[in-house]
Amino acid sequence: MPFGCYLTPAVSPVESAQRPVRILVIDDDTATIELLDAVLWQNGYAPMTARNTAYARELILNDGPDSFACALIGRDIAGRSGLEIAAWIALRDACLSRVLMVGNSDEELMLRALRMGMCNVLRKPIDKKELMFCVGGAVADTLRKRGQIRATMEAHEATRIHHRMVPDGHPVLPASFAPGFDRQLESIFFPVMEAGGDFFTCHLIDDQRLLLITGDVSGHDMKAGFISAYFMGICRGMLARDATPDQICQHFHQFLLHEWNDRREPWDIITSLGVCFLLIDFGNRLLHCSSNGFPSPIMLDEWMERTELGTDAPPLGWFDVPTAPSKTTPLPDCGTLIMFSDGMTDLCGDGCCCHFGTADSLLDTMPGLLNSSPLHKQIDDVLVVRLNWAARNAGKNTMIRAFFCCRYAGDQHERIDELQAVCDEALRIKLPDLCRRLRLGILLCCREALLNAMLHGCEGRADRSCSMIMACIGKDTLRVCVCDNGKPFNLDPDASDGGHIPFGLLIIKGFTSSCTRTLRNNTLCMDFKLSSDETDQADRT
Amino acid sequence: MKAEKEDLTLILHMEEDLTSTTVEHLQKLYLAALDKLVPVACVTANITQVEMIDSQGLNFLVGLHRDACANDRMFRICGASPMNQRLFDMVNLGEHLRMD
Repeated sequence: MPFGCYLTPAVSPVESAQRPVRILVIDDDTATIELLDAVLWQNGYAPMTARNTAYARELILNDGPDSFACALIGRDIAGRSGLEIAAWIALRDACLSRVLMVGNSDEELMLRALRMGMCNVLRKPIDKKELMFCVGGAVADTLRKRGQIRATMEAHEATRIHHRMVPDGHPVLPASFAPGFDRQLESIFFPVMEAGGDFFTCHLIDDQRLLLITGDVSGHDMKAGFISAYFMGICRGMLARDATPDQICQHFHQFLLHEWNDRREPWDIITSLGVCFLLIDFGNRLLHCSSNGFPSPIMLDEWMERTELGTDAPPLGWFDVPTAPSKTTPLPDCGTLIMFSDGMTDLCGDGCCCHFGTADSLLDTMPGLLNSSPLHKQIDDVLVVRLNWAARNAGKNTMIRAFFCCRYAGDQHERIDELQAVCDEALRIKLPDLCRRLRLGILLCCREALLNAMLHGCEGRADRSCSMIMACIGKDTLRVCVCDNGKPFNLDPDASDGGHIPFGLLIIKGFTSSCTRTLRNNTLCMDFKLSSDETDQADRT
Repeated sequence: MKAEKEDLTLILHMEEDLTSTTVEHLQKLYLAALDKLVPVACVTANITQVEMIDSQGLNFLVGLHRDACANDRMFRICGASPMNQRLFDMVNLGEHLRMD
């Protein structure tokens, strides 16, 4: 038996290819060459012989290393080491199996050969059966490695195609679209493997309506990517024929139910599609959203009032029931909304309402710096889309960028130092140029507002909660909104009774540029001017 | 917090922020120091090392002031950072307390 062993089945030259498989034989021993030439021809291979390493190099350079499926190499060839030409071949084609032929038992040489990646060693005088077993295995190994490389390259190509269909960054909306609004659209996609099943596509319906479609095909492999591409094609085609989102949804639902899943083999798992259609009608100031098995998009208005735009319904392809009807919501003058796959929900973790914060971090994630983003705990494809808008006639630059959200139970007030540290970290990351004094002032106000919300609004109870959202409004304002569902409080410090000095309110009034309370949701909104005169270079940390 | 006495002045060196999570402990340390070091004619709160003072921290300082007044002692604050000085101005504490 030859040294080493093969786990891959040997492939005969007749079975494996139409053309005879070429074997490169490099040796200066005439008897060996004649034997190999004869035996290999008899067994259907096409041997090419080289009596010195120079000619072997010439053959490989002229014909290409991939024209051979195996190289049989003598120990010494016209004064040159066989290991030397073996190493040279490996540099040109690491997939080409190389077998060293040795005249005697030289264990040191055999070890060196195997350590440098040669696939086997044949002992001379050569036994014909051993030769054919060895060559068959070596050829199979070469073909397997080349097949793997080809499949990997094809997967990369598919990934590139998916990236062309679902590009990261800022899809450009033409200036003629919704001219009464400033708007910014961003998206980013992080597949777990190659292409993945999450997707995003946007379509301009007319000069006032924009349709955003996000989806998630079950699984996150090439198959899922293939189906998502098919769905995107169907969307594009049907939209060109003026189909409505509901019609597209219903059509693909029927396709999955009665064609795709009905044709599956017994061992195939059912394929489903979670999808969300969001039509933004800037002309009529309305949002129409339908989501089937996909997380509901979330919107914040300029007072950080949170609205879920979608509905709860099973994904397409599961049950033969009508798809979710569209839900209509008024479009505020200014706002921000995010659409995200459940892969992002997994990253949010511990039940805090940190979707906007996580989305902002992901949209800021730089390639190569994944460890610093929430993605270090990614277990599923992650897709995030964000749309910000502000009506130009509102007379102020109010594009909103929410970057931190949290929700705490009323009994968490004893953790206030820890919560303050979390806010501090968010400010340091998102507003690195903030001067120290301003940062401390903001933190102090956040602390006071949160403590007030927990202790008074929530009455310190575990079954009540409060939330805090931080957002940049335009370029020079930070807005922090703290909301609880408890009793409203009076923002006028002079109205307090009992001789108690309401230091918390005085602090908040003193450090903010404006401070208001919305009546709808008992939300305290604190604005801080970021371009304050206090932004002293010497004060930066 | 470290406490030391110079002549009849009790000096309280605050070494941590004066916030809702620290003031109860600081109040106990203050009372213990006072017990140990009587007689005291003046109490000084040295806040040089204090970065943040929240509303409970302000209440703590006002409490020290009231306690001093009730016992015919002087009370003063020294070492306020510009940030904390601004905070005191914001809540008009400077009108009632002596700041050095």
